Amino acid sequence: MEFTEYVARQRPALMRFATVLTCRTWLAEDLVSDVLGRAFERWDRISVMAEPHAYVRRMVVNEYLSWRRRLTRTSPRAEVEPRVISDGADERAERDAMIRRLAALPRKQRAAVVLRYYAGLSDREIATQLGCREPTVRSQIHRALTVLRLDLTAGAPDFQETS
Amino acid sequence: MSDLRTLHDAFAELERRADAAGTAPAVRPRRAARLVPIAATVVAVAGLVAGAVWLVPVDSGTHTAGSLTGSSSTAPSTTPTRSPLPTSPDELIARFTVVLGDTATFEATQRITLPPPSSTNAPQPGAGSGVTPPPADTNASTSALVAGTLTSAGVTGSFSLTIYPGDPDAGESCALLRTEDRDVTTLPDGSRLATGTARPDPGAVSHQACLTRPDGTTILMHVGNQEDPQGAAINSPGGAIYAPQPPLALDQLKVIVTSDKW
Repeated sequence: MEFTEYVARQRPALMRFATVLTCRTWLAEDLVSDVLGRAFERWDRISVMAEPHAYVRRMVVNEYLSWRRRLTRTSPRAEVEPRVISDGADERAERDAMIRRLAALPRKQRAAVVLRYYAGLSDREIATQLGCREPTVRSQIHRALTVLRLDLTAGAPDFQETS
Repeated sequence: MSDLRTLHDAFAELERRADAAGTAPAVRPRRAARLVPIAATVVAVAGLVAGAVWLVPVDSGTHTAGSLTGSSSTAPSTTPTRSPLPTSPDELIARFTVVLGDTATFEATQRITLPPPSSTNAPQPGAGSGVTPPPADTNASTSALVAGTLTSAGVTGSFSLTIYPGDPDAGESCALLRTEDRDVTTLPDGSRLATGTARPDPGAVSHQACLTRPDGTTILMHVGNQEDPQGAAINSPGGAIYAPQPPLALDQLKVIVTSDKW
């Protein structure tokens, strides 16, 4: 696959992933642009991999986790602000509160949650991506779920089963 | 406490903002902007139900239909006034039988009627466990979801299928959770086809395809090689492996959801 074709096809998906990861569209744009720039430089090697997209996505995660220095010299321009809805839309309010809690998570915990519940990766895959051990992944996710006030046993959707 | 639906809603909202950032000057009509979360919620509900159906204890009452071997006694022989949407599991099973033809046989072990779209799926204030149904759109009808096992070319796996109404102005396509290589294409008739494959664990494969027609009608199907058609970690609930690969390839799934026989 040519690099331009890859970008055309996968940039939206990378942007979504990076936005979920960072909770900030401006940061996601910078992140994805930087990663794609570096991917272009080594595209001859990436393009022949079995799963180029998985590799590029891992580059996004690595870039995100190593952004401490960059963040210190980058001024937020348009951070995603939870939209305050005054029409009593409990669903939106709850969703926006969740986004706020997500954004407040330590970076590695947030990455672990996103990789588990957004990307659907296993503990082992997450450990590989984050460069840590599986028990650490479980610990990170457990702590994150507590902060997110997420009860995995709650919230069965309303439906009626027919006989 | 919140539940996974809220987390997925948060992800969907962030995705939407990412898409909006990617098409910066575009200004959505007010109505579309208002309805997008509703569409996302419908998708989330359908997705959650699809992911949860294998957790529902098998009830003998749900086995009365759906065991199909090419011809189905449950399928109505004629559908003179076909609705754009199957409103019951039986109707969905009948249409699925026609669409599949000789490609595969299936047994629908779970048959679920989804409530009509509502203005909100959030638990009502004071509803406690959330058993109070959300207010329904009185002009809308129910939709259906079926799930079970599917066999093709000697390979048996799991599947889930649902068809539900959507908002034609929302301009959103399905969110295929857990997929790494999500691919979205626009078909000649304006429908949007989203496909992808989730591999939640080594050896676990779930092909997913979702067609959103111009009128908003959405056909969402998963086929996997595990108990949970959406895929699961091997040692987690629903993670039991049925076969090395799903019974249908992703291309076959595309053909099914884009069939003109629905």
